[in-house]
Amino acid sequence: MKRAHPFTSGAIALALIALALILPAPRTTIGLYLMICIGSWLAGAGRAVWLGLLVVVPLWLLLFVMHGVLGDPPRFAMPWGGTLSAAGVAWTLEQGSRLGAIVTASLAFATWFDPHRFLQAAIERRWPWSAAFLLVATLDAAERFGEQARQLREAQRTRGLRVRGSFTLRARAIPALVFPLLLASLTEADDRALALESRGLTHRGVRTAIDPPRDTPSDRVVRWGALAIVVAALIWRVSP
Amino acid sequence: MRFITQRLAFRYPAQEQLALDGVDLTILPGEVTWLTGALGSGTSTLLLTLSGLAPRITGGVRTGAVECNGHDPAERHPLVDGIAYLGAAPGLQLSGVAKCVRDEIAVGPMNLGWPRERIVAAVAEAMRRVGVSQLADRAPAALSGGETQRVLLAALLAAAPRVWLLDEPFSALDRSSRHTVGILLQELARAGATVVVSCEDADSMVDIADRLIVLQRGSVALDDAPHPLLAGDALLAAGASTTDAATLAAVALFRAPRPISTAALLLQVPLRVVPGVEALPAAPPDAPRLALQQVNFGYKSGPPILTETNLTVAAGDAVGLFGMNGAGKSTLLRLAMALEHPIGGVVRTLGEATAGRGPEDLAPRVGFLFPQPERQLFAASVRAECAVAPMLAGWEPDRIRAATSAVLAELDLLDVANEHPYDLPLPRRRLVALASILVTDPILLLLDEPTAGLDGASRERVVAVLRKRVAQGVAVLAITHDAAFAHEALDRGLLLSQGRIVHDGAVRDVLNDRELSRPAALAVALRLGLPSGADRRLDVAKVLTSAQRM
Repeated sequence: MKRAHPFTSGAIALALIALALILPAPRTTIGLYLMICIGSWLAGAGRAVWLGLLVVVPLWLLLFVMHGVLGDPPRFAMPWGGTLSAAGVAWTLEQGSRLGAIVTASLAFATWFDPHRFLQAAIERRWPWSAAFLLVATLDAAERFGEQARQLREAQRTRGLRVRGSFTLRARAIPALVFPLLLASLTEADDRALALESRGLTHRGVRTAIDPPRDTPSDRVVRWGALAIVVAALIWRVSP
Repeated sequence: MRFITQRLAFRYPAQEQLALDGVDLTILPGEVTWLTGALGSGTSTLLLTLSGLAPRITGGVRTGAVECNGHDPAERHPLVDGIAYLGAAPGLQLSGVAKCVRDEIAVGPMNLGWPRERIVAAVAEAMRRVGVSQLADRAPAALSGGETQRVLLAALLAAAPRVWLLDEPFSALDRSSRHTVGILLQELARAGATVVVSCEDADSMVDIADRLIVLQRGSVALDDAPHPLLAGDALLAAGASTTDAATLAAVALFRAPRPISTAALLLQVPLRVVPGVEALPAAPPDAPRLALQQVNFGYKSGPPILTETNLTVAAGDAVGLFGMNGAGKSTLLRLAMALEHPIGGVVRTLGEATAGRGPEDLAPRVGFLFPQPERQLFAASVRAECAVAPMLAGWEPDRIRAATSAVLAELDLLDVANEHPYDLPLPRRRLVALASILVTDPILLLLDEPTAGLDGASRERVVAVLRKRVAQGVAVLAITHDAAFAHEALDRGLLLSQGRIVHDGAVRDVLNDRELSRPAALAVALRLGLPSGADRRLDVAKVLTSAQRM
């Protein structure tokens, strides 16, 4: 997938997200979620599956408690005692599977996303530069923020702040990082603004793609196919 | 392109003091114009206003006029207008949109919409002229400070600007890169470009600048050809730095006009050995504060950086770590601070192996100065910044207060003690970062470019602070490209090349090497036959003064 045209991986991710919202839940959406997990794994984005689980498992638990445990009747008895809301459990499965599919597809896309290739593709297609740059800068921001946090944390550690060890120790060290990190980010944003301006990244005008990624016929087939599947799913869902 | 400023004044947002105050200048093309002054004199702000970035991007209020070929640069885009600007912190100037150096250099032409063939040719030519062709496929974020600075200069060059506004472009460069960049700037000026450089390193600029403008508290104090200014008293009176040779001559009470180059100074030095000057006794050997034994290191999926590296630094050692940009100097320092751990071999800091330990285990007995001070500060005021380490070490409030005031006074930072570190200019932030580690009296200091961007007075202060601590038995390992500082502050020199220490001896031997510039005091000391340990500026100046009286 990393070798595919960046619009192709984007189109696949968008199609999967759209399908997660369009397809009837829970059976098809559970199937879709499993398909995304297996597909991501096979395409080398297994980390996205694990990260997705980290994100959605707490949400699944929350949904289960709010709707399954505390939901409205009718309720059914559990083998180990107590009752659950039938509608609540169904709703948890519906929304939980949709969430899982959306989060995992997004994370898999993020794994494959190469900001440089995307930007080059966007320039080649004459996409609005500001929109393309904003997307790349946003996706890149997490990495930049992480790097800044790492450097700040290193500076704090060299002065004696203990950030490793027990959970309590780590938790206690967080406030010492958060405020300086925000402030440093704001200050750095000023400096970056100067750099972006002086390097011409804010200039409005036609740009040249230096090494645009190849858009092969199979890329185009996959993109059109993804669109066709989404349209077909939509028609199927809205038809009487 | 010609710049004309009339009664130019500038005030940053939320600042009461004017950063520029009534600047009247005409800057001509075809010249290298050099801006200098004491810290906070306004040279960086002048570059920003000339580029139009201030106030358009920085905010703040500008009064008076700036004109560049008949228009106000603040109303146009600098790159489109042919204006290249490079700020003082190279790490923050990367575009963030390039995956390799080649693409980073192509960013400007790409944004100008040049045809692809022209971009490819311009990028190759810029890399060749700045000497970064071998870095073409490296990731910009993985470069060392000096490499980043060179890549950014190549990036500016690729866009073929007619105006160059550069803030401390030599600060992280090794000697050979300084030479290359200096020649490049001269060539650009000779080809008709307007080149304006803010630089505190007089020795890097003296041979390339056509004009020297000295700012003092935001106003033009001096404006003349560089040589007469550097040789006279007015420059020093304005708080600006002169060359190493002229500084030595001034300390030796030579009358103005003083020699500004080492060669000229040597012509005035008596050709004989001065008797009665002896080397300082060597310090008794002590347990090493830092020891690297057969250390191998490389970053993940990268080439090896250190190969079977050995070194020891004992109590009272003042050691300079030298080498070309990208030689692995900063990495070695990170290993010593347990910020990285070796793949093979052992690093012992304060007698214990760093394996399984982190920098917090070494603080506050080991002080570490990062190369980018702007990323080392995290407290709400300069005083609070200095109080962090003692607080974490569990000191009593009274002791913290006393230690903080003492270190701030030592580095002349008391006037900004209550200011936020981010409100200070970059060089002063470096001093704050240094103060924040000195406050706990560490017994080992690991310093990465402690004098980059500092003016002469601040450099002298850092030298004094370090010498005082070395005399107390503190061990110092410092990375520096500042030969005069190294000669004044350090005793021993290590040369790192291709991952190995290829030379370990007296700092004067390393500085005498052709890869590094030779400080004036060392050159004179060698001429006079002064021994190692008695060849620093003050020692040499005393000899020169007495020779004049004879």
